Amino acid sequence: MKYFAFIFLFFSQKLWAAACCGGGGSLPQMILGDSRYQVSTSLTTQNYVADVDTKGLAKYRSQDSSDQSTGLSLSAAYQWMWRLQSSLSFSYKERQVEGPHKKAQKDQNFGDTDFSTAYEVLPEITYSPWVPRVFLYAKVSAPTGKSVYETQANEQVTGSGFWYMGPGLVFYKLQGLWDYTLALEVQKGFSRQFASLQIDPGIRSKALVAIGRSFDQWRLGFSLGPTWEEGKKMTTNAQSLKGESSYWWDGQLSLHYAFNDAHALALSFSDQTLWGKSKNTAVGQSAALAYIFKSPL
Amino acid sequence: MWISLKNIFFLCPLIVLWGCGKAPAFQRAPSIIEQGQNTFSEKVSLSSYKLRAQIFWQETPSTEELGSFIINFYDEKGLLVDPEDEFKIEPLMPDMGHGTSPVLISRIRQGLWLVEEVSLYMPGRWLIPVVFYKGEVILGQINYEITL
Repeated sequence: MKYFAFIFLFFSQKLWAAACCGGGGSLPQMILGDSRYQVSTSLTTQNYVADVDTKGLAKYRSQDSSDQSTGLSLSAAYQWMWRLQSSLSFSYKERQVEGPHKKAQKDQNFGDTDFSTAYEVLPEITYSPWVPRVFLYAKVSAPTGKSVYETQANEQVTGSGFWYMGPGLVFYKLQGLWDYTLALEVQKGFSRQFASLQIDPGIRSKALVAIGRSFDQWRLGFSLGPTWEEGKKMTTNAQSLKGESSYWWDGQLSLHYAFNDAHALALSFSDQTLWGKSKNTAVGQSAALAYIFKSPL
Repeated sequence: MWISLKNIFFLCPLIVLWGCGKAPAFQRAPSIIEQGQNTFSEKVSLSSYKLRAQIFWQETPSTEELGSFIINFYDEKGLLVDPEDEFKIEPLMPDMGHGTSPVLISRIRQGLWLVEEVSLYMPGRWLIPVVFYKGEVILGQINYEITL
């Protein structure tokens, strides 16, 4: 139980990344315990299995086609002082796409990079059975990945192509062996010009609820949350078009093991096909193995 | 505080209940692949004349293979004519908010043009606008749609 705070809030990473066009994003990594900094690295493999149209109907891909990506991500969080911390997260991905008439094509690129600074607006100073710890953060996502606007080869697409910026809130409560989290985030995307196209990505937001149960050094967790992206506004010389919004749900089961106060491993499985209604996106499943290290204050 | 912290966790079961909606695994589209019209015809009024454009797919595009089509231009008498003005074709995926690589346009003979290397590389609705220009000024356009 003592390792809780250390390993929790590690559902983040790039497991949240979804959407065929490199959208999505992830929650920032946060230090919940007494540590100066926390570093984690994870290996994620994701497979898109279906495309959901604008009516919410899923077209499952054929057996002989696949769209699989494997990513290595590195996240670091640093606690500047009590209540104030920052985190940086970046990733490198390999994506392979193949179809019944298309030979397997593989490519590698950086994913998008996230930077966030969080302030604990409501720290836990005295005991309360219900008052949660509350973190307010600001996050900037930089388009370091290659986007669908820069390449037409699906295997090369690893990023959204836009700068995003916005606030988020995390409510976290530890009650005995159980822990609960509620996270809410909104980001505004900034428009960019790609050749003859001017694209305004609009707003994207996400919410997440998570519950975990500790068993000595083990923790079993489940999280569920929707992601919503506003339809992009596309302006060409000839016309201006407003795209359809996209949304999807991620359900994630995770298992953490803390070796001691400094080292832990996390294994997680995520699925976007079993939860809630999706629209105008590609959905799939993913698995991740993460190693987390924290240093004492 | 505008919202009680005690109540904020009531959002959690609401989100979970919402998340038990119609998941993609249980909302499957019919197995028939919905295609756009294989041929397409539409009139466009330009500055001093009217044209009818007709599209015939030569190689129907898929998410894996490039497509090509022939576009015929007819005048009001039904004769094949070349547009007096320049035209451009830039396929777009409006729902997803992106375009694709430039197509290759070549003239076969009067009124008959070949459009090649049409890369519609993602499943979904694609818009293929044919836009007529005089210099920088847009005179008119026709929009052809296809769903992969």
